[in-house]
This record gives sequence, C-alpha cells and structure tokens, in this order.
Amino acid sequence: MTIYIDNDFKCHVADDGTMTAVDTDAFDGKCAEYIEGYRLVPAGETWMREDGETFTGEMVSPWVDWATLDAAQREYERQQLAQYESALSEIEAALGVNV
Amino acid sequence: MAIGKVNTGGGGAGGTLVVTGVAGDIITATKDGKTYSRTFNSAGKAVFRGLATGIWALTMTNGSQTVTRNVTITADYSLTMAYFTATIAVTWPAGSTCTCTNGSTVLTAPDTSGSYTFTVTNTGTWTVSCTDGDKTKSASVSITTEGQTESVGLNYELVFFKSGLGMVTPLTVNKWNNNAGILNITNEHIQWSYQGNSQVEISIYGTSTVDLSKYNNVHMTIGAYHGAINDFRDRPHLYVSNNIVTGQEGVGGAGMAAYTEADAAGTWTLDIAKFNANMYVGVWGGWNGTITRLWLD
Repeated sequence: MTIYIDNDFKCHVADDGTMTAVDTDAFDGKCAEYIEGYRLVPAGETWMREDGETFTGEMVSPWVDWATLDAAQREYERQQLAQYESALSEIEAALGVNV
Repeated sequence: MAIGKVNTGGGGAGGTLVVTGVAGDIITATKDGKTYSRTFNSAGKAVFRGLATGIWALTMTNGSQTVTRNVTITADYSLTMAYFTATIAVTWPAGSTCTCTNGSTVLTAPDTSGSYTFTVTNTGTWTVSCTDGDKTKSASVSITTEGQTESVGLNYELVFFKSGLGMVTPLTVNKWNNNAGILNITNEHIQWSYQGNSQVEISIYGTSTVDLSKYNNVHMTIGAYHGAINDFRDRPHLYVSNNIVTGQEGVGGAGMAAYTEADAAGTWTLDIAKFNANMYVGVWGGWNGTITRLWLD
C-alpha cells in the first residue's frame, strides 16, 4: 500500500500536498489510526529522537504509545469481523441455509 | 500526599506533626471536636505538637482553594500538603542514585535501594533518571491528572549476545528457507551460510520476552552478508513483536510491531521508546550473515 510521510517521517494515510509517498507492505491490514501512530524512516535517511539517539532507515516504529495503537487495531479487526459475520448471515438467509 | 516519619526530638506527650504546604496559607488539624490552627511559615512548614493518637483531619486553605487529608498520629510524622499530587513509582539498578526532575524541581530518592515512589506536586513532563558513575538511564513521564499513578523501570543494558562472551541472555536460533544451510554459533558470533547454491535466512529471538518499558533502543551489529538484493527476506531485520517471527510469514514486516532493516554491515538501532509491554526481540532474514552483538539499552 501507499502511505505518506511528513518531514518528521510520521506516517499519514492521505497526502496534504507536502508529503512523500512511500510504497510499503509494513501496514497491510492496519487501520488508519494504527498507521498514523507510526514513523517510517526510508532507507538512506536518518532521524534523530529528542534525546539525541539517531536512527538510520529503513525503520518502522511507533511514535505513539504502542498499546494505544494495538488497541485501536484490535477494535478495527473486531468491527471488520462483525461486518463479515453480518454479511455472511445475510447471504445464508438469502440462500435459506442455516436458518 | 506523602507521609513520612520525622524525628523532631523534644519532650511532651502526644505526637508531633510537621506539615508542608503553601507559605502563608492556613492549616487546621481537627479530631474529636478539637481544632488547632497554624499558618505555614515562609518555608511552607507548620508544626503541631502534642497531638493525641488517632486520625486527624488536616485542612489547608487560602480562602478560595481547600484541600483536606487525613493522617494517623502514632509517632512523629511529616505530611506534604498540595492542591495537586500524583505519584511515580520507580525501580532502577540497586546501587545507583535516582532523581525525578521537572524544570528546577529535583526530587532525589532517599537511598540507592533501587525502589522508591516519588510524589510530584505539579503537572508536566517529569524526567526520571538513575546514575552510577558514567552509566545513566532516563525516562519521561507525563503527569496530567490529580491522583495519577505511574510506574517506571530503568535498566542500563540487556545483552543477548556479545562477541567474546557469546550468548549472555538465552536466544533461540534457527535457519529457515534452506535447512541444508550451515549455522555456526561460537563465543564470537552467530553465523549462517548456505550450502551448495541455495540461500538460507536466519531466525533469532529471545527465548523469553523482555519488558521493553525499561529500554529505549535495540541494537544489532552485523557483518557483511550476501547482498541487499531486492527481496525483503534477504536483508536482516531487527524487530520487536508480540509473536515470534520464524520464517516466510515475516516478509514485508508482517507480525513485527517495529523493525529496522540493515542494508550493510555495521550497527543498526531500532527505536522502542513507545513500547511498554513484554515483547519478543529478534532478528529475521538476511541471506548469509554474521551477528556479533545484540542488546537493548
């Protein structure tokens, strides 16, 4: 999928006109809240954390507390599962099976 | 609210209570219908002597704000009064000093036991630090709410593997994609290479999970490997994850909560500052290679 990174390498699901597009598999299946809590430093680029530690890409790492992102992703997957089950029930009802 | 014993000495019956609050404000101590009042001095201290054993209600007010705390008098105690309090419980390597700082306010743990709970009296970002000689470790804690409680664990370093020492903390090491490949683990390195003409990739992970809240970084030092061709699995990836990543399922970073990809020999570092849970640390992928060091700090 294509995501967009700003000048601090933070990820976005939409480009505001100033960002860089990045093609990556790292966020396949992830919801927008999860993706936008991450930083992706491309290969060859370097990012410095506020304590002075430097990181060279490619690096994919959260800038939001990961437990918060994980909770959002789990809720997203729960909602998706509920939608699939609802759709499956409708199909079964239409086919007259498992009624 | 912090209560500590203060040995003020002196004579007389009953307990002595030293209360710390806002200079100039009024503090009253009430129990069983008896009320005593004091004014905090310029140092923010007020002393009640001769208090009977039992639970006293301490009320501080400036006319517009009021706060009440109860204290049990059985001996001499000190009490810190504040309109805002929160606590930060810290563990750190025993033998080191520990401080908790916000701006010009520096709180110091009373001993080097490795465990202490700081009471902070304002919101903001507090920096908890431990120091032992030239070793130091810090973490930031955001305090926003009255009564908030936070816990912080500090550690200097966790070594999985170090050239010269070998495997310091247990690792599970397997090769995948070609079981005919060669795996060579010595005190100097973890090395994997192909036999014949088939590449082999590596799966290395801590046998147990690590409490990542104690660390900000994971590092690995690798030697030259076969080549960074355009295939995710042919480059070593340093990662953290809820689950072990052992083979082809790791392509694209699937299953990795965070990773850094090495595209050359050297030391590579992964930012784990936003992880505060027990997770696996591992290395995945890389077409032939050598690791000489793997550690967290």
